Amino acid sequence: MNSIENRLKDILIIDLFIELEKNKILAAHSFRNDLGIDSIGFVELKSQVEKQFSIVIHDDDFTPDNFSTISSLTELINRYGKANGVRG
Amino acid sequence: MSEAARKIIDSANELDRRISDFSDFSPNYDQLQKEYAQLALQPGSAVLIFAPNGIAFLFHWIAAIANGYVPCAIAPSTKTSLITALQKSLHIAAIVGPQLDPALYQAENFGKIGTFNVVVFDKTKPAYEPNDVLILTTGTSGQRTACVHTVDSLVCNASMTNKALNITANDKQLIVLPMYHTYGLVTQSIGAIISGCGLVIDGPPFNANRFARLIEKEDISIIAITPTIARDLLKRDIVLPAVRVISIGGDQVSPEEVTRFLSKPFVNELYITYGLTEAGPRVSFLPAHTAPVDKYDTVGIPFDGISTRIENPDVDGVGQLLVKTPSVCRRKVGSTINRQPFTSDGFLETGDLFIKDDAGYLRYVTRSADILFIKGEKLNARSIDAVAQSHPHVEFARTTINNVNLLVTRLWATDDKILDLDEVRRFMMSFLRLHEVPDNIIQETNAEFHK
Repeated sequence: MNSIENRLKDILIIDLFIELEKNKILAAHSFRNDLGIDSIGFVELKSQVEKQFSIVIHDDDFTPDNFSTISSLTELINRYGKANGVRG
Repeated sequence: MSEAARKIIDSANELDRRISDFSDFSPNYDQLQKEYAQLALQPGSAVLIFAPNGIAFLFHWIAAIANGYVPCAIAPSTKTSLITALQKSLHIAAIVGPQLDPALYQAENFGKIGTFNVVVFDKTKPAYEPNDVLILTTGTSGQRTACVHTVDSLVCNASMTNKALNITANDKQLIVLPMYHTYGLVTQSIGAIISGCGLVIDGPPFNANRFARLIEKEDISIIAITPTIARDLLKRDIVLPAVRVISIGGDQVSPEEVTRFLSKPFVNELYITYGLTEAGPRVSFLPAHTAPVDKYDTVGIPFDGISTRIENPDVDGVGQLLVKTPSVCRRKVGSTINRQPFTSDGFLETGDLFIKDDAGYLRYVTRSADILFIKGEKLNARSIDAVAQSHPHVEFARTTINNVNLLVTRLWATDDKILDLDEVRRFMMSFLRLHEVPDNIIQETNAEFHK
């Protein structure tokens, strides 16, 4: 499994208390519709991603599109990683 | 069925022409209504709707009413343990939601309604009447509590806001606040349905620049925000496109913040509002754009048709605000409700301390010490204590906010047992929403507790 996706699943379970088992969380699951993440959850998700991937997500990137699924968030982290030279 | 309910239901089929939520899929309302009928629940059965903001949520809510059921909206992040507790406490007969996992409820009777999953609790008898609506009060009265409103009381309250803010079919509202809270559900969604205005539903996550772009692109005339969002916009000096009406409610706004907001070029009419779920929710409003500066520290005057008085004011005029409104709830329900918050002459006890000046303006003094604001959300500290105290090794718990605005829960163990605080934290997490989980959990000694 992609290591960024794997770490995102850990964040969802450990920091956001998502009740699904790790192997049942899919990269295509919608954070809002399938995992029930609400406004506070998104703020926590952004904060944990910034902390654990050592990046600072610009306000313009904190959008429903980028924070739609594990796949879309992985793409965003990869973009920041390339810009910062950080590996996933 | 009441006229108010009929109006809401009849509007459902034309709603998708004036509501958008940026999703690829819009449910078929007639089909949803039929599928709810096929559940064959008894009239007055409560249905918990566990869904994010969107047209789908609104259609499910209306379809439940159309079938004589009693909808109850809940945050989609709510944990199974709390939903299970609410199911018992509030006599919930069915739960619906897009991410609902029937296995978590050991459900035997489950299926689909539209794209949502549904779990039915066959043995739950109806505890309400058709035309009732349940609105949770977990943020103020504690977990497992709710107000029993009627469609009529909510429509009445939404009408008061529409009238006071002159909202008509020519307007278009943008919803970014959660629709499981009264502001998003009643003031904005029901308000839009009955006024005939357009409605755009967005988020989360909230993004100020996206918010600005949506206002521009969708030609929005009415927005509602919380004080937390208002402060964020001020802090980041965001310039929004001009809108006709901005309303701010949900917590106190300082006179300095009102002044700063009024100085923004995009502000035309600025309303500061006060309300509580029990009242339907809105009680009073301050049109800050026309109000004298010395009223900026108030929540204005009550809507037409609402009476208020201060109960047993002290020498400074401070006392509990009592409210008599046609949009009041019928009663409060839940396992921890042991008395109804009404006076013998029909006033609602708000639990909030106010001063009422000679001109009738309501000046907020303080809320109950049990109600805390953290991360922009209201929570009841005693509910968090109750969750901690339901742990088998915790005798007593006390939750407070410390001087750096972190939520701290202090625990006293049964027989001074050494607690595994990580295990207690996991236990609490299984019942609490994210903002309710303490930042710090500390064990105290019983010697200190018994002093």
